[in-house]
Formats: sequence, C-alpha cells, structure tokens
Amino acid sequence: MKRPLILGVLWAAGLAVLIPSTAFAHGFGDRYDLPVPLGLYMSAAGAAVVLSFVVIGLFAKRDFGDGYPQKDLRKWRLGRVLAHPTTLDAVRDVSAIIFIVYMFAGLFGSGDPNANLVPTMTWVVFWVGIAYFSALVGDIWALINPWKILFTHAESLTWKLTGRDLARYEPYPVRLSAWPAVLLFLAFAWVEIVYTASGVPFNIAALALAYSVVTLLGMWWFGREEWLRNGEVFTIVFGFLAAFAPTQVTEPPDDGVSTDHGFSLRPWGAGLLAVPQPTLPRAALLVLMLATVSFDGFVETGTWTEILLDFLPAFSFLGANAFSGITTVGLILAPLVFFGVFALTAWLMGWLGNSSLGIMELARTFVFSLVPIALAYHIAHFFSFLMIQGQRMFSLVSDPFGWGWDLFGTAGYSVDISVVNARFVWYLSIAAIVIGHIIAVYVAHVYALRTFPGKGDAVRSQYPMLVLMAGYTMVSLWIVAQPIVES
Amino acid sequence: MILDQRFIVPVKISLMATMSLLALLLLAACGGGDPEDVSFELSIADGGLAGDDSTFVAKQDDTVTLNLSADVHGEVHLHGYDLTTNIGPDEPSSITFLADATGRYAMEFHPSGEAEMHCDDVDVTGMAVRLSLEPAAEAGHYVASVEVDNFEFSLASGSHWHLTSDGETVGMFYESSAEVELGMGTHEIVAQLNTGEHCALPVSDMMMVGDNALDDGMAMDDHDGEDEHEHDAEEEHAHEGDGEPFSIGALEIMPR
Repeated sequence: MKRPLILGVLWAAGLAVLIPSTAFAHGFGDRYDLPVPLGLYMSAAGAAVVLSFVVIGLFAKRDFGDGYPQKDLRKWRLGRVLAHPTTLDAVRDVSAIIFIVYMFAGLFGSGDPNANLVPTMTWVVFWVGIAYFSALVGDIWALINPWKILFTHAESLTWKLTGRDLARYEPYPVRLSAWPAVLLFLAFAWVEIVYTASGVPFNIAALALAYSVVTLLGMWWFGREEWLRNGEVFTIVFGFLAAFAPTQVTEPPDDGVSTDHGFSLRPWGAGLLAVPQPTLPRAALLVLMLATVSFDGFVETGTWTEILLDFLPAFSFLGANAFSGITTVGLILAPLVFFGVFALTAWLMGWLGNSSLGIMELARTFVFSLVPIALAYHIAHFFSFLMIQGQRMFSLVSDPFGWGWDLFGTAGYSVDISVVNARFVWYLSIAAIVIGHIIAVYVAHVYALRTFPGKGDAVRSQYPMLVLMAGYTMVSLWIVAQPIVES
Repeated sequence: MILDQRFIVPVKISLMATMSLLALLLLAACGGGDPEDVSFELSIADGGLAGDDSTFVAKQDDTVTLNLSADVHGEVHLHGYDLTTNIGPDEPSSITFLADATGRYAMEFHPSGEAEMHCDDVDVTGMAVRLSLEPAAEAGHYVASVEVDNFEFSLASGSHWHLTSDGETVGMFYESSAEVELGMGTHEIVAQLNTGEHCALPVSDMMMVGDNALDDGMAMDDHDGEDEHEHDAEEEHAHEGDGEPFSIGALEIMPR
C-alpha cells in the first residue's frame, strides 16, 4: 500500500502547482485555420460513404492471411546507418540532453510562454510532432523516451558500481494492468484541454517533474520494461499510433545468436492488421485517446461556446472556474459517449454476424480499426498548427531559456504565417480524412473476416461498423469545417 | 520483392488515391481574380464590436485596411500578422497591410489604463469629498454619505462616486448617500469621485469602520496603516484600468 500513498502525495504536489494559477487569455499557440468550405466538406462526406461500399465490394469475398508486404530496410545503406547502435546511442544522448535543457528551462527560465522553450516543446513538438512522426514514420518514442534513457543509464551505472540491479522487480499486480496509464492520460488530457495556465513554462515543467518522479519510481519498483508497458502512458499512446506507421522494429530472432533487431518497411496502416487484441485497459486507453482527440477539436467550435453559455448558470458555483468545470465534465463524458456508441455497434456486429463473442470481446477486437480515422483527423486538424507554431523552434534553440541568448544566430527568427496556404490545407485535410476512413473500413473488414464464422456473417457484421465509421468521419469533417472560436 | 497476388488490388487502390490527391493539390495551386484594396469599418463600443458582423472576409494578396474607432482607450491586436494600433474615443486609427497569408485571424481589443492618464486633463482644483458612515438598523449595514465641493453627481453626465472596502469595490453611486453592507470586523472604507468617462479622480476620503466604531455609535477616522492599504487599493485600480482583453471578431483571408 506504500505506492498509492506516494502517488497520492505526488498528485497533491501536482495539484498545488495547478491551483494558484494565472489565467492566460488563450492557452498556448494560436491556430489560424480557415474552416473547410461547405462544398468540399459535402463532397468529402459523400466520397467517404461511397468509397466504404467500394472497399466492401472489392474485398467482401477475398481471403486474407495475417501477412502484409514488408521490405527489410537493412538491405539499404541508409537503413543500416539508421539502425546502427552508434546512431541510436547518439540519438538517445541528444534526447536526454534536450530533456535536461527542457526541465531547466521550465524551472529556471523566463516565465514568458513565447520566450521559453517549454510550451512550444511540449504542445507543438512533443504532443503534436511526435504523434505525427509515430504514425507517419515510426515508433520514435521507444527510442527517444528520456525517462527510459536516463533510467537505463542509472541501471548500468548501478551495475558497474555495486554489481546489483537498480530496479526491485516487485511483481506487478495483474489486476492493475495498464490502468495507471489510463488515469495518467486523463490527467494529461485535462492539462492539455482544460487547464487555463497550460502555457506557463514553470507549471508545465513542475507537472513534467511530477510525472518524471512517478515514472522513475514505477521503473525502479517494478522494473523498467514492466512500467513502460503498463504505466508510461506516452510509450503506450505513441505505440498505438505507431501501429499505423510504415516502419517496424522487431525483436531479434529467438535463436540465441543474433541480437539484431529487425527494421523493415510496410504500407501505411498495414501494422494494424497484426496488432494483438488489446487488453481491457489498453482498449479503454485507446477509446479515451480517440475521444479526447475529437473533443479537443470540438471545444474550439462555436457550438461548444454555446454549450458553455447554456451550462454557465448551473456551474456558477465554481465562480471564475465555471468554464473549466463544464469542460472537465465534457472531457469525462466524451469518452463515455464514445464508448457507449462503440459498445452498441459491437453488440449489433455480434448479432448480425452470428457471433457468440461478448460485446467487450468484440469491442476489443475492433477498436484498433478506428485508429486511422482519428489519425487522419489529427493530421488534418494540426497540420498548419505544426507548420506555423513549429517555426518557433528556430528562435527557441538559440535562446531556450528566454534570457536573451543567441547561440546559433537564429534568436531573431520570426514566424512566417504564409508558409502554408489555406487551400492546400483544405485539400490535405479532406484527402487525409477520406483516405483514413477507407483504410479504417478495410482494416475492420479484415478483422471481421478473421472474427466471424462465415464470409456472409463477416460482411453483415460490418454494416453497423460502416455506420459508426461514417459517423465518426462526419464528426471529423464537421469539426474542420467549423471556424475556430477562442472562448 | 515480388508482390503477393492478394496485395495487388489494395496497392492499386492506394495508387489511385495518391494520384487523385495529387490532382486535387494541383488544382489547389490555381486561383483567380486580381488583388484589390478592401477596407472594413470596426467600431468598438460597450465592451464589444458594434454591429452584428464579426467576421470580415478578404482574399489573399488584397491590401486590407481596418478602420478602427472605440469608445475607450486601448490597443487593437490582429493575431497572426501580429499588427497593433492604439485607439481612443477621439483617436480613430487604422491598420493597412498586404494580406499575403491565408487564414482566420482573431482580432482583440486590450482596454488600457490610458483612459486614466487622460483623466489628468480633468481640473480637480478645489474639489473635495468628505465621507461619513452611520450604522444602519441591520448589523453590518451602514449609511454612507458624502459631501462634495466643486463636484456634482448626475446620471446625465455620469459623474458618480465609488465606495471601496479594503480595496474591494462595494458600489458606485449617483446620489450623495446610500445604504451599504460592509459586514462585521474592521474595514478601511474609501470614497472616490469618478467622472462619467470612468476617470478615477485623485479626490478621495478614507475612514476606518469597525466593531469598536459600531459600539460607540460613530465611525472614526483612522490613518494608521494607511500607506499599506492605499497601495492595495491602487493595485486593484491599476488592474481594473487595464481591463480584460475581449474579442472583436476575426479576419478571414481566403485563398485566391
């Protein structure tokens, strides 16, 4: 019972940082997206629905194995260089140094969100940038996770000095499973979406410090890999996205000789065909992530502003925090509604597909097929944000602490807002959303052929799934067609 | 590597999708029309933008002029392009720029403390205010009255006075006396004259009110710890003067 106590103390410390907060006019990082025009929005919606049936029509009776095309990247020089231990160690060292600079900047640097490295690093480079990279290139977080790197260093140092293991390898409670990560993700999402001072460098760094303590303690108590699997929320979340990625790293062959990891190329989304069925907490975490990604966009629409005003009287007891209170309730309701709709779909799938599997079993089987839709939306929604706000890094690398330095002569760089054209973003957005939708339908169909006894059952089972996916895609399209409102 | 037979159709589909995406993006590069000069009138009043329209639309490469006026002093900020200008009741201003970047850019108004600086123009020579507080029937309630020299309260001109308790505003009044609830305990009460333009004039009177004063049936002047309290009150006022920034709509620059 010691550990929950420590966690409790840490969260209390975290909360202490949160309460006496200075409210910022609008979080961090302006968004300048123009809403997608109605015509494009409607054609994209139509295309998504029509193409769903094309996919089903083409693949309804095909036989799918478990495989997908792969190409060994180590056959190429570039692949060998990238996978070389020296390269990997260099990347790890750079990542650890960046993390230390980041913590230092947050705790001791300028309090100005625009002058300090921390807000841009956290909300643009880390949260949006690494999500993009994980999905479109590969599981970079497994390599650059600073807690993993620092703990590994501490482990080898302990081994050299004392000849003993640093970690205690206490047995991880089976029932706890990945639930710590679910709670941590909810806390992270709250800070991202609700917390009004999420742009204040010191606050972010204090929360990152609290999270570091939790993570390092978890790795120390249960062992590094055990905690990374169950409690390090970003390892799990970026891992989900990397299931879509075109590169994969595999464990060394189990022949006792080779220690080389496999490193190969595959089509985008193909990895989703090979993911093992997630456990209940991992499925819950995925649902939570999918729902919060949409909710994050929804809170920027005028509709949400109206909801805020409608519920303001009921929340007036919270005073100045009334809007935050309503958004918190929304943040908790969104995943529940999402799960409710998904569970209903799973029940209909089981019924139409003559399956003896339970609702939860089916929900877990199919949940990964929704990843491409969420991912496509994420790409559509954040593309111009990443291209515009990401430019801040040019000046921040020269003056990470906001102390007036100019290390690389780029401190004076000012952001060019004309770098992406709105029309380009519109077409990219709807193309991403439609293609994401098609991949999702395809993946779900492959899952169905594996899950249901007959091909007819599999096809029938996919009708409710098609409706759900169309609805989910419509939500994405609707959000990108709304003007962004600052509340 | 030779493609497995069963992957041919998916690969064909992804190729088709990629091609149509490229075609769409090519389309995206095209456009039409010549750049124009466009201007918008924005009038800020009563803590918002006058009129129903709050979204102004121009096309990329247009030369956009925002003609701005406001009933209070402050700064207009166009996000993204990051352009600002100062305006006030008698100082309309404008922003002109080449709209080369597409997007939806929020516009904000930051009311400034500048209004108070203009209050320096008000001649306060001979002006004075004397505050008196009498306990009212209900516990913690008082009748606050002020006597003024060279000043007149009126709804028409907006001239009024503010009553603060320990730096917190209790109320603003257009008559010379009012019943207020100050609560129990000892408080520092300040009466300050204000003009219709909400200029807080450097004309005020301060007194302490408290449980002892209540027992005696009279309020008594108390200047102990005045400096510290006055500092608090000033800080409060500086904050009020700056005002919360508010949205005055958005400018949409559509792609050409």
